[in-house]
Amino acid sequence: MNCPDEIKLNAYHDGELDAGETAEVRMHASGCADCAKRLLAYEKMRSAVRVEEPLPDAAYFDALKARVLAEAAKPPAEPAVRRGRTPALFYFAAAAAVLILLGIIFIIPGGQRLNPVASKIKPAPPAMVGTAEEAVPEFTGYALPEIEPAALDESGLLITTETETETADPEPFSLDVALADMLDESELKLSEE
Amino acid sequence: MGVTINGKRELMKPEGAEQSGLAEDAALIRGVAEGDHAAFERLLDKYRKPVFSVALRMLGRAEDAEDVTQETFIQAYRHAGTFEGRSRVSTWLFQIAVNRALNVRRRARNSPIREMREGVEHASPVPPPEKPALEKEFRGRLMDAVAKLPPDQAEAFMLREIEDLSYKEMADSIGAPIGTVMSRLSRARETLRVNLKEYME
Repeated sequence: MNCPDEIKLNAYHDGELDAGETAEVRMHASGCADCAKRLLAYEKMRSAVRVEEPLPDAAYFDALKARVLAEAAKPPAEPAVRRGRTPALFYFAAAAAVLILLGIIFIIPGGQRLNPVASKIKPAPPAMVGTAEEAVPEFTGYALPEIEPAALDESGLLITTETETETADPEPFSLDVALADMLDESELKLSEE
Repeated sequence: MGVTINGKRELMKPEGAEQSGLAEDAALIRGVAEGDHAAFERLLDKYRKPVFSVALRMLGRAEDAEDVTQETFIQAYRHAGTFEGRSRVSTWLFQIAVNRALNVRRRARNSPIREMREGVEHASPVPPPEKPALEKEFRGRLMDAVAKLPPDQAEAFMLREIEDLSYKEMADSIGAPIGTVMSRLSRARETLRVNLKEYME
């Protein structure tokens, strides 16, 4: 007889073969070192799993039982995240988008084109005479425009009606223009120093 | 609860179990599913030691075995309604316990603390271990190797060796054809044999 395949050898080890097959495999294994070695290994693993450890005393198991019963009496823990609800990440993303939008409107220098108050601020004309060095405009501060009383509402906030002098047709926001304005302003600050 | 290495059906026999115990177990699990507290207590009394014993042999530490035993019974309590009666109640409980214990071993395998502890133990100049210590070491290595098997093979191996189930009973409790069970079992044993060959000489 040739060596039985692994499944048959396992079935022999587990006592799952009929009497004829069992006798056949037993006879083969008695003369085949390889099959005998495999069967010995299977038996060694089985013994290792089945040999029991000494168990603790009865008091230990009574305490264990009490713990299990106490745990079973508790309501099952709620799952941390329920499916089907709006994930928290969505709210974070929405809040971040709003903050970025506000930042673009109020923080970026040159944003006066979008800011109705800033759009009314009129820079003073620089003096453009003299040498190239002297051509750096002298900062003279910002001149606030006069606001018509009618442009203020009851609470004192500015009503964003268009005035006759400025921003009647505001340019659309452009990143290039905003950056150019930033450069202009930084030059002004340097000139002050 | 006696243990006979080559015996049949005596391995995990619970306290006071008899042949009629199967019907009693089925009634108990139905009672648990219906919220009968006394039925759960009876189930606990009957199987707490066998379940703890399986977990202890797989994990080697009473603390871990206790956790697994507790988790096993809580899971059985909360999911008794899912028991379909394809297997014995004891097999169902051992199945839960084995899978939980394998998870504990898998987590411990990846723990740096355990690696460090084992490293210290190996490095210390201690005398050669006695035979029981060698057997214990082999069982630890075997359980580590079982935890590395594909889960379906690990489950087949443990159910066969712990409960001494027939292939038909294993197929029923796992919910797979007998051929699949035989294939999983033989692949598991061969992988373990190869991976533990230094202990097999």
